Amino acid sequence: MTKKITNNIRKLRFNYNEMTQKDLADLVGVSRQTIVAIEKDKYSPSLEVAFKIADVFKVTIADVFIYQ
Amino acid sequence: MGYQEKASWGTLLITLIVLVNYVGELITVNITDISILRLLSISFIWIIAASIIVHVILAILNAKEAEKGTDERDNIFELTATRNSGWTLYVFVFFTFSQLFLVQHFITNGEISFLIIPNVSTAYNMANVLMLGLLISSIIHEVTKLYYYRRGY
Repeated sequence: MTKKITNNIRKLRFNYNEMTQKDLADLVGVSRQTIVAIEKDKYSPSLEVAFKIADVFKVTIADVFIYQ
Repeated sequence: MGYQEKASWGTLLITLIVLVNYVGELITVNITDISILRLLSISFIWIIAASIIVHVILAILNAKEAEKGTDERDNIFELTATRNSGWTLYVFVFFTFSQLFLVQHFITNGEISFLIIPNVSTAYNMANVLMLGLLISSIIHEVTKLYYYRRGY
């Protein structure tokens, strides 16, 4: 079976004072559409953006993205 | 839908209108050197003017997003689209240069190729194929971007 990258961004946003996609996009420095695409597993971000997302939620990159 | 995607839709719409108008005139009007020069000029002016107007309107309507510019996702789509449209343009440039020899061959043998417009000089025939190439590669560029915006990458 082919492995794919999934993520917990939606859950992390909810647990982080119900942060909006727009707020996360502004903090990471990408467009809201890019955050939407990442959440829906339609786009795999660069390592830099992945680290920035993890940094916003103060967790490790493995807590945000799962390769399964 | 983000600003970049809207801009792509705008460019695609303009290019399609210009292409349909261009091909329509090529088919219906009796083409000569003067008329094809007029057609080429009008198409160029239209595509530039309309693109500027549409992008300005979109930038005004989506001021915040337009100010931010592109992000990594937009850049990846842009690169992939440029690669696809580039290959299309190479094919048309190849045909354009091969026309230099084909036109001479067909004139010598009294035949006409589907790519060659009779009563039009070689230079304008080449310009015509290049124009078609530019329009089609531009369409492929925007369609590629829109495909990735809609379907994911």
